[in-house]
Amino acid sequence: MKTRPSDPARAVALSAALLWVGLFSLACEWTGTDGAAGPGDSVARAFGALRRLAARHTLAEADRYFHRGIGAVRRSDFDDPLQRIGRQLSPNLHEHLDPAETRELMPWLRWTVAADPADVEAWLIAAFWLDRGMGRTDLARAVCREAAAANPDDYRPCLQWARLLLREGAWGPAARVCDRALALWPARLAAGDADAELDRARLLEWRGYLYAFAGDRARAEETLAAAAALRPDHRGVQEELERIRSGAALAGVIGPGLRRLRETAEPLRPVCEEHDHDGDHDHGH
Amino acid sequence: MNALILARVVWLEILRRKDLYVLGLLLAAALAALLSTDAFGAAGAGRYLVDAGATLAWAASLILTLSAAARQLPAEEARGTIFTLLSKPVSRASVIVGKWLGAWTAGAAAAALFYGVTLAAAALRGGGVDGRTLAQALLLHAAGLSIATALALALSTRLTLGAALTVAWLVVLDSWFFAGRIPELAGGAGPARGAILLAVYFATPQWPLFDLRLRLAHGWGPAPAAAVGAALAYAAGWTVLLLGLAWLGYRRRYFKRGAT
Repeated sequence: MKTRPSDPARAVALSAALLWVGLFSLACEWTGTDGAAGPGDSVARAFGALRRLAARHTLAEADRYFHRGIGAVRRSDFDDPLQRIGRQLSPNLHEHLDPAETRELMPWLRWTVAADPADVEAWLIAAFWLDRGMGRTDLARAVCREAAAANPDDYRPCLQWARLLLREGAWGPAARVCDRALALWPARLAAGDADAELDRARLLEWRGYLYAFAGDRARAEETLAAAAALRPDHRGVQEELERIRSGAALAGVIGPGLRRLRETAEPLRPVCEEHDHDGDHDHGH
Repeated sequence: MNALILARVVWLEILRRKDLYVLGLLLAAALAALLSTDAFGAAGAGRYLVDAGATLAWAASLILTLSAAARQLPAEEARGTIFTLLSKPVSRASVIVGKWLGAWTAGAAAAALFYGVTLAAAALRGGGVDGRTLAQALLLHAAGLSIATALALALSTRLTLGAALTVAWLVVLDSWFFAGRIPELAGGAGPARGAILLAVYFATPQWPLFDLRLRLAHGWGPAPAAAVGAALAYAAGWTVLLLGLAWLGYRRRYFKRGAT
């Protein structure tokens, strides 16, 4: 069979593409869950960086989908008929998906965590919208479990998991997951990080309520006192402490703290970062 | 009438080649891979399929159309069939229009087919699109392909196949990724450079105008009819201009046996 002159070039291009895909896949396997590569593993390092780049892109796409397909809106001083027609054909309004439509984010978030399993924020966003947007707490819990398995050194997936379990009234599992989160805290955030401090206060608060529910008054008081020290303005913690000290908190009875956790929805979690929009809108989410 | 016969010949040539089938299979394979995505168990997410499918439909239809349009005249010359063709009572304008019509309609039909495959894939995930928006998207897609076909054909009247194809792709990619941002850049570029940038902007067909993926995939509903009409008029203007240039480049073209 005669070979056309362009065939070698095509074969080389195809081989290069296949090689790239193969190396990329291998690098995904080799670099482990935290994306870190050994000092001598240059292939894994190079492709690990590419994976994080891919993850950043897919997370940006999730943000774009959250804004109904509209990315960063560009403005120019110069206007002309073509731009005016373009604006009518392609809207550039700032709108968010309805909560029920947030399922459209899920493929992008799945690809984000597939490319970079160490991106804990992407896991948490997925869990949040599955629960809050779609009402699929079961799927959100599965995401937290998967995230915790992929990030065994990070307390945040366990914190979100515990939050879901508390909302469902699964006190026993919630206590175990809270303990796990507290054992891991503050990794991977810095100890002085404001978010990490707030999260620790939350975990101590929840664990204190759960100790009280289990009838362990001494540990409940100790844990809630530690939570109160971190958040002195939290009235719920102070009330629970008073109930414990006065003997009003009875074992097996759901106190106001746990009741509030069951009934209060989690504050909205943005897909996008504030700085992505140059402060051009009020998030409200 | 001659133009229609020539257009039919172009269709037959495209159907005989493997390009269309290979592109269709690649699109189907890409959509199948996307369909296999496990979105954390959440059912009903179909927008990403419409979005990706429409993007691939644009890419595949441009590949098909540009290559089909750019090779028509150089291939006739290379095979020597241009002498037979021009010995018939066919004007050079008819040759240009017939070749353009064939490549354009074939590309538009392929795009419609690719959209059909995309919508079928989205339907498997429970996704759907608004019918009027889809009609507008197809219409504007065809309008964009019309300019691309005319551009490749015009370039091929004076350039070799490879050169015509390369320049046509450069113009299309420039329009898609760069030209739309020129108005932003022109403001801060100073008067002279700003004027040059704006000249490039207006001298480049704006293909993103014909791209309704945003409305189609994200449920924004149909575009205002006036804007669609204006975009169609813009496409018609560019197509007529480029076909006119193609005719000017071809009408006195001298062919010599064995020259290519």
